[in-house]
Amino acid sequence: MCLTIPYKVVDISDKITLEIKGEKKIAQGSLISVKQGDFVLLQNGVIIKKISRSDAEEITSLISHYYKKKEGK
Amino acid sequence: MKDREKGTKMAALFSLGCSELSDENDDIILSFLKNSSENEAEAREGIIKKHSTFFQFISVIGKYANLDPFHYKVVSAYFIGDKILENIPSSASKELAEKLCKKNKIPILSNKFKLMHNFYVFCVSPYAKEKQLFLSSMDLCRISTGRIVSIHREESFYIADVIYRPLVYRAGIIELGEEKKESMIYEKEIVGEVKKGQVVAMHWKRVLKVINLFEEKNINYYTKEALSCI
Repeated sequence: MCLTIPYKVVDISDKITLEIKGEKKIAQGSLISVKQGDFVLLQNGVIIKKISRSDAEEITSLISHYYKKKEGK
Repeated sequence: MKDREKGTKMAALFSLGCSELSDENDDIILSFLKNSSENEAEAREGIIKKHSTFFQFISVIGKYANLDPFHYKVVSAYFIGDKILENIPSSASKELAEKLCKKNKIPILSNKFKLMHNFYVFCVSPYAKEKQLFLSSMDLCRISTGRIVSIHREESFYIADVIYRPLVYRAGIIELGEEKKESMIYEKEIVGEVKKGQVVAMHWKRVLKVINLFEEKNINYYTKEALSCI
């Protein structure tokens, strides 16, 4: 299943820093311009799309539901 | 390159879209794509573990085409579409569709289901449960076609600007909208040289393959068929 985790942009001062559940990650680049607070999707470290907060929540919920099922939880 | 190795390469390349849900198989798949065919069997194993649904599709296609599931013709039929899909009994396609619908709690919508990736995305994937909500994810997840209008280099990768038709939701129907320009990741190391004017297949905002007219027609035909099923 093609699922990509939504990240939140937390810092753009030097490199673009992203966060999910407290875990931080530096984006390798971006196809679009982003600002602090945006929710984004990544492709191998590259930001490919900006999404709304509600879309990010829906996708996160879909992912956790899907993986719980896959793991038989 | 042998047909099975070519098919494994295509499967690895078209599987890249899921790699943000990274696991230990990603490195194996990427290394296979970037380097040699030395770890071909290992890459195949990684793809099967990471994308078990995809493997179910190519197993059925391969069975009815009398070919190995990783044969290039089989993998290409799944991602791009091919007449070999038409030789699969509808009962076999329906059986797999029903299994996935049950798993993802989606009502079966059509008997016209074909074992091609875009049918999977629109009809039986977890996105299919709430299509309008996940429209942009479905647009990223489907295999789409587009024409390259420019290529430029960013810090560590190339960007290809491509004209393509995104999915749109109009009057309760999901269809292909008007042409628009979008930037896509283009990894020269993996995809090879692409030029302005060429038509390419894309997945998750990534240019995957320069396609010929026949392949373009197939992707667009199966995309429209899949959209007509929902």
